Amino acid sequence: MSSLLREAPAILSSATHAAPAPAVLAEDVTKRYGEGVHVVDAVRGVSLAIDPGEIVALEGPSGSGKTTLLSILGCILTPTSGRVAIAGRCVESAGPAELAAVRRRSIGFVFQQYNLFPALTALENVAYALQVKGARRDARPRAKAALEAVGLGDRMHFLPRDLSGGQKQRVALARAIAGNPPVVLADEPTANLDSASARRVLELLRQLAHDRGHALLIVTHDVAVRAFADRVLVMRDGRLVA
Amino acid sequence: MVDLALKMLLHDRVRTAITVLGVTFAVSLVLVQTGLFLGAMRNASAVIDHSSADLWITAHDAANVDFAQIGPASIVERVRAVRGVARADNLLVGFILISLPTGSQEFLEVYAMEDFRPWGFPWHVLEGNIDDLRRGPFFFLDESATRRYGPFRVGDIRELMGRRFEIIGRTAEALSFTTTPIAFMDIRRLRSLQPNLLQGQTHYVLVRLAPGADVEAVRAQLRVLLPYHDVLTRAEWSERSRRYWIVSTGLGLNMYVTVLLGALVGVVIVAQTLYGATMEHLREFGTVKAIGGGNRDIYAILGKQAVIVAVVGFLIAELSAWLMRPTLKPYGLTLVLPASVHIATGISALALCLGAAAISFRKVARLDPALVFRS
Repeated sequence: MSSLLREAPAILSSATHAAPAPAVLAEDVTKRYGEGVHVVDAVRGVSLAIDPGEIVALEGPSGSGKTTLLSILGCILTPTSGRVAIAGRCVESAGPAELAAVRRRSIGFVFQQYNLFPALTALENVAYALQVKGARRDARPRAKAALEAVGLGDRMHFLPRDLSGGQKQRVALARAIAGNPPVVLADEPTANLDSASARRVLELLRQLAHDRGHALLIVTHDVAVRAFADRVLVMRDGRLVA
Repeated sequence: MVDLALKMLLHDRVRTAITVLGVTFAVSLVLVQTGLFLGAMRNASAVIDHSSADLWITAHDAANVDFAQIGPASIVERVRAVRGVARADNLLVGFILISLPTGSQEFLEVYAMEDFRPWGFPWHVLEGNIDDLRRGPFFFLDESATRRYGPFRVGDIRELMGRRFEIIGRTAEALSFTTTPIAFMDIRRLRSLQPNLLQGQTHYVLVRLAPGADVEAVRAQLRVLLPYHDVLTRAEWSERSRRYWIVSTGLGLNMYVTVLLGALVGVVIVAQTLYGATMEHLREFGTVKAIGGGNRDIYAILGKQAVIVAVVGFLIAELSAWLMRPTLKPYGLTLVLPASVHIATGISALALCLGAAAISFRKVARLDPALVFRS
């Protein structure tokens, strides 16, 4: 595994390699907070790999380290030790600017609280994310296409306050996939939704992951997510137990 | 392009309005206070600045043009004899009583010469011929007197020191720092009104140099000739007159303190509202970071918002200062705002807002993008 991580870029760019390289790869990842007697290991020796087009659900009780692991895989936090590769790029020792570049190029996020910009319409929310990722002239047409892909073609010019929870989450989903990132990380995407909206969002996630080849990791408490995932991982006390 | 900075400002209208008002308040205060100060200073030296005299001969240590000190009028003959002097004339500046149609009496500041025209007095004649002053008991009155003396017309009669004088002309812009209305009169008429005080006396001697004459050389001769007088260039005398009012009235200190307080209040309001807005939008800025943006993207948002607020606040303040001019005029107050004041105030407003925004930069730089996962 460790050799795979070090060589991840080479492997991904190799046309002769038989199996597709994992979009997300973590090896023996640990995240430690605090010092001395107040040390807390939020993540302990976690290793995992997610292939393109694969949907993985990550379950576990509160405080088990799910969100910390998600932050590490999302290049928001760096691990205390271990190796992480996103879309073939080793990131465990990358600086803030490099991590931001990986987030721009390779990762889409879906948040529990949607985290839409309240001042921007649905279309502008998606277009702005594309702008941050480097798109300029074609940001709006691409945003429009992403919103149509999530079934919000008729709500493009609505502000978030005028959208239902499910619609907001679909805008967030459109924002996550608009840049066509190889990795989509979703943090409790159905936690604030009614069951019908949750089902719709999950169906969209599955369809987009399978059709477009996004590697999808969903952190969840929702048992309904199990049915949509290709694989379910369970965390407890910072470790993967299943 | 989606302009997140502008959209956030427009979305949070009340907060934006408060921030803009803060800038408007500070800039208005600075503009009005500075404008009034410069207006008062312009009035303080208006007569000197509009005269075409190259040199003013005044009593030693004379404070300002309004509070003149008398001396023998005969010195003008000696001045005229100096090489390099093309012309020299006496000027009397006195305060006399004018009786109004209401029966009340007010003070009137009178400028009196034998011949005004060669000296460029008065510089803005609305009505009448200044040469006619020599023909009888006449005077020109500045239109600014209307506020103090009530309406008047050419042909009206007024009593000056108990004697009847006819108004034969109207002037404009002849203002003094004291706000006492200014009149122009033949020098013999003024002396006849206060013979004990003014007969054979003068307050100033105005000097015009001959073409090609060296001002310092002429001045040196005059100083030798008149050791108990000051010989000042127009610029020196103008500056001394203004300085007197700045120092003696505390006007300068008042202006600086007001400008400083205005700017301080503006900074506090703008900094507080911009910082508050940043705190309120931390999750959004965290999202910008999470989707791949850097601190520079957020600084650009905050910076742009500061620039927008500064420009809008400045323009509103400029408009209000412009609208204020006609309101102040009836009170004898003039806003003098040269381009340099507008430019300096605009740059200061911009710097103020950017500085206020920069207070938030530190918070943003430390922003943990992981906060986007918190519910």
